[in-house]
Amino acid sequence: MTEKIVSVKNLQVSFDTFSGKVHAVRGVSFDLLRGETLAIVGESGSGKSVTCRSIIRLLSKNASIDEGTIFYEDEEMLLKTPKELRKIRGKEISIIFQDPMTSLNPTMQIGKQISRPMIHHLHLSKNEAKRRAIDLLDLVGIPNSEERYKNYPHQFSGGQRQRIVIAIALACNPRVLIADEPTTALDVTIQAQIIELMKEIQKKTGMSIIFITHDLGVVAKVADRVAVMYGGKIVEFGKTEEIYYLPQHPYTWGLLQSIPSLEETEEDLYAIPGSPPDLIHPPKGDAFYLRNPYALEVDLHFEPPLYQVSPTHYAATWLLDKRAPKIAVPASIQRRYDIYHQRHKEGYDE
Amino acid sequence: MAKWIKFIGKRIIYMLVTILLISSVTFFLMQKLPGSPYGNEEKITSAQKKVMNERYGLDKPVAEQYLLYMAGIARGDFGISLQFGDQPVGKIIAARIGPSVQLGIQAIILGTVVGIILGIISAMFQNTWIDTSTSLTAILGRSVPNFVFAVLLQLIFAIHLQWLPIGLWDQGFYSTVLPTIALSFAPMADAARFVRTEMIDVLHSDFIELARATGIGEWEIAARHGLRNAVIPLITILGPMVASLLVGSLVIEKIFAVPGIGEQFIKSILSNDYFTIMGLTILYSALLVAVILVVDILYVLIDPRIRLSEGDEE
Ligand SMILES: Nc1ncnc2c1ncn2[C@@H]1O[C@H](COP(=O)(O)OP(=O)(O)OP(=O)(O)O)[C@@H](O)[C@H]1O
Ligand SMILES: [Mg+2]
Repeated sequence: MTEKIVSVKNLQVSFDTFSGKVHAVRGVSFDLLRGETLAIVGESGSGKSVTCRSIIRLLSKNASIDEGTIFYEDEEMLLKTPKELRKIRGKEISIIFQDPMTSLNPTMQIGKQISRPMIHHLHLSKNEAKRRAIDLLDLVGIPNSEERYKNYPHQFSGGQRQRIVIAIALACNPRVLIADEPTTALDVTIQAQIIELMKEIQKKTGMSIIFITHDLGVVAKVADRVAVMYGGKIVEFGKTEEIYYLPQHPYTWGLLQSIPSLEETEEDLYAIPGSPPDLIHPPKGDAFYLRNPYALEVDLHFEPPLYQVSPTHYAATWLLDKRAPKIAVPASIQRRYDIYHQRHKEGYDE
Repeated sequence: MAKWIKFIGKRIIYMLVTILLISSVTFFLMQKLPGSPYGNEEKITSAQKKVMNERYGLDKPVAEQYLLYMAGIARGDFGISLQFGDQPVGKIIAARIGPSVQLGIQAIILGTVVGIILGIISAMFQNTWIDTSTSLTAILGRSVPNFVFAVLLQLIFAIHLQWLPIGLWDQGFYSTVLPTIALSFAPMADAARFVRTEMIDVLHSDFIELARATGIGEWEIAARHGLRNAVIPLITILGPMVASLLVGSLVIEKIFAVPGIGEQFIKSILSNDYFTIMGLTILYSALLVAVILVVDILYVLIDPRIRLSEGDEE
């Protein structure tokens, strides 16, 4: 058994649309390790959802996976028939979506929605499935589970509904949970509770989690490692600490600067200027070129390769090239560097 | 339970008010109807006419006639037919309503069941030739007048194949088959189009996506998650469907020589049979209003999101 449970290599996904071929994912590679939480961070439209849905091949009809390999354990997901895929979906790999208000069938008792996958995959009897569903409701923190089994989605709050969605996802004890912005639609306190719940469950079951979000602020609380996506590519990845305190890519700097903090007022809140690249005609050079205050001439013509920062940390920016001019990083990022070096001082001294 | 009594009671009161209004409007419109109920008007003397008018109470002032008529309705007396041998209107209706109701119910059941199936197949195979052909069928069913189908059905199944009687009401269920089919095209087309749209909508919703993500197959998803959500809203067009059925049955009953109420309606209009026209108009509107009540009740029963009162929300 290897360390990796999911391994994605050079994934390229495009959509046929009325206005042309949208190159949503353009060569993404990453590994998900056993028991870890990997966060995928990026602005809206950067390809986070498409990347993760490709793993269980849950893409719309106009999508095509043009290149790449996706391994789950030692099975190549791209070679699976629909029937084989259905055996993996919900059993080995589960997914939960952003909006708990629309993720549940409004006309079906929530208990039935939780037990259905267990009857389907684990061949439990109705009664066994019901018993387990009630246990799951307890696990995700829905009080009076026995009575509430029979309730319909509209009888629950948004946070409770997301708990129910999590219960459905966990029903068959999956090895991998893909959480696609599971807390974005919830308010901050509920967000924290849901994240807490997911961590707790992970501790119990040892499953791996891919946690998608566009908010780097949330990531620190959940992730072991972080991949930053921009324009259909991973532009930086590393351990959470490395992304937070030793970020290398100007886009990551931008994301870090736009984390709202308690001290800052509304006006201070930073947003990366400009808009995401056109994915129908992707730029030849660095996709972040136009929005990058630290852009170099070379960015216009050539895509930067991934530079290794540490054995666990990589970033795709020409700034890391030996020939690149030395630039002064933004003050707030420099402070992060300082904190990092402070923390690792003992280490460096040795 | 108390909630139900209050809910239904309220609806019934609305219903009665609606019927009252409709009967009043019908009554005054009748006054404006050109011609008189007496067949060959030139041939009867004014003396004869006077006697007849007195006999039917048509000589009284309009206001008094109105009050008398409404009082009659309240007692369940719809007056006397001016045309059909002085029989009470209520009795004529009672004698003729059976075949019409039977046809109507059969047609609506056949139409909606087939319509739902077609709609779902269409949605599952969206934008394929299967979808195109079922959609085309639905458009035909909606736009071709049902008497065309009626005549075609007679031509094929009664005259050429001789499987079924061409008309009349004398062979039990067999006699009902062709008129039922002819009558079911409109509700079938409505249901098919409606269910297709709803189903396509539902199949694109997040909870269907989540069901897919749990590994459940497409047909099970359609049956378990799609169907109920797509069919519930069908109840809302049940009212208009019944209305179009009522209208449709006028012609169909004529073509198949069904001794139903539709035929009666046409005859009474052609002969200015005031009381029968009014009686039937009130019957039709009462029917429609009753369907709407049933729709409301069905909605509460079938859709878990609708509750009679807040109370059990969190
Ligand atoms: N069904 C589709 N048809 C056409 N284009 C699509 C489709 N699904 C996604 N895309 C495109 O693919 C790109 C990536 O979309 P994706 O949903 O992965 O973004 P995301 O990073 O998850 O963003 P968000 O934070 O908004 O969820 C977007 O430009 C989007 O417009
Ligand atoms: Mg997304």
